[in-house]
Amino acid sequence: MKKYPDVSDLYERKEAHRKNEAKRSVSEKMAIASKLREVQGKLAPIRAANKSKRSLRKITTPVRPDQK
Amino acid sequence: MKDTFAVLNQMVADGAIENYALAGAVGAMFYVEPFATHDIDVLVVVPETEGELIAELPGWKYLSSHGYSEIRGEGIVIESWPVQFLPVSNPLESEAYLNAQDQNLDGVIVRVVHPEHLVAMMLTLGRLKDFARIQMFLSQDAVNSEVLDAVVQRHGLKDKWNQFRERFLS
Repeated sequence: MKKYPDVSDLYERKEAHRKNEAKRSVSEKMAIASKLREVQGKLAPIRAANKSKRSLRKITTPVRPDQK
Repeated sequence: MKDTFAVLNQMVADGAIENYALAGAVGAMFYVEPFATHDIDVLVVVPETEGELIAELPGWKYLSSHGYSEIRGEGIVIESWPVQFLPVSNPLESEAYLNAQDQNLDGVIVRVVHPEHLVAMMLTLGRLKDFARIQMFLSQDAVNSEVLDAVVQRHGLKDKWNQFRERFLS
């Protein structure tokens, strides 16, 4: 059986950091939103292509032999 | 952001990490409208350390030796984006990591987790914001329902999935 690391501590710290991020100033949050908007525009055609593939049922997620 | 992924691809080429799979809110942006996020989450495989805490951020040695030494939150800042290297920690994440697909972002290849796996991972986390995000994937037809059902079934998430459906889709 495959062994996995314990990441609970990492996720707790991540959650705590997220709460701190919420305390950022509005201008900082707006700057982040602006950065995301740029990415969003570039991802629009990729999103459309992904959606189309899924609606045409061209997607499968094979389980690799080492996962069985 | 594509420069960040170019660095991640170089890390793979240089053998600093076996590979990566983009997950989290930025991974979701490849399939649905964006969520609020400040960082990039990538799944990585670390050497087997069952039950042990991760002593060092994966990729830290490589990145710090290449000038990326700023830590923000739990992430290492790469080309102005904090990147969180999340060790694969269960069979669902392992499957998501192994099956991630290459996407082309402005000429840079980005290895992204399938949306069906992203939804299953959100279902596992089960916070209110995860449920809201799942609804977004469903309402925007961003998942293949047959593939999602198979993932849910395979990873013992049927009860959680039924609870979600009863609570939010009925």
